[in-house]
Amino acid sequence: MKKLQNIIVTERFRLEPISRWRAFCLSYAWTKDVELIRSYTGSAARRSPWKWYREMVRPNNRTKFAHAIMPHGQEDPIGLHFIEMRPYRSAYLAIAISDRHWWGKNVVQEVRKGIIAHIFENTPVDRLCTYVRSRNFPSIFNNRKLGFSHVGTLHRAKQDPVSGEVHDFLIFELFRDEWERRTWEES
Amino acid sequence: MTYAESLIAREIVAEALGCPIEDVPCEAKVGSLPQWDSIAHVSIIAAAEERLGRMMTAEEIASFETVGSLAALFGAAHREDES
Repeated sequence: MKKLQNIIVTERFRLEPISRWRAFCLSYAWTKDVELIRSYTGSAARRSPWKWYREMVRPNNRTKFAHAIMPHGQEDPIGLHFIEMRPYRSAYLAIAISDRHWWGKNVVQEVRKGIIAHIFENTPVDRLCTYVRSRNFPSIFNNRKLGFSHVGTLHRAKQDPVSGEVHDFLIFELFRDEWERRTWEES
Repeated sequence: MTYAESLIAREIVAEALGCPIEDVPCEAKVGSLPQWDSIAHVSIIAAAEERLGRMMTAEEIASFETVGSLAALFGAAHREDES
């Protein structure tokens, strides 16, 4: 898993592994952005720093990793990508683009392609998994376009205490052989 | 899926993508056409929900893999209304 601590370079971005503290500092700002935090977690409830620390993916550089998404030639990250390893040979992925200027600019596709390729080339992971709120259409679109398959639904799994809405979550999976077949076909 | 249902689905997608309906086959997968990005996808779902007159369920959203599957969804909704 050591290779997941490497910097990953894509056409427009440098994906830089960051510490737990930096991931916390960068992501805590999201909790004040209602639209972003609702898309990312399904709840726009206000969080204290401690509450967010308990809720966020806490990188440990063994089983949990965070990468800051930095456009080339820029020092401020525009978002974060998280990877969490779990048995059996699985990795759970999460991403948030906090800089609105980059929304709708294909960032998720490019970053995810880089991360997925890096995971499959450098780890024994065989299965990737993501959970998406069923009304988060851009994220569902991105999963579909990357070749993820919908494998299940968590009905009425979370309530947003601010809006009162109850959300369903979709589970998407992508296996190593599916990814390899896809990249082979594309090339 | 009837011809009429497939026409509705293709029309919705073509309008969101800003392209002629002839360029949108039923077999087109989500994101497979050049103009089909995440923003266009949101417009497609919004237009589909407007047409259905209700919000799509999680299952319906998850089943939307191709233009044809969107057409099938209109067919299922139409049959539901009739029964």
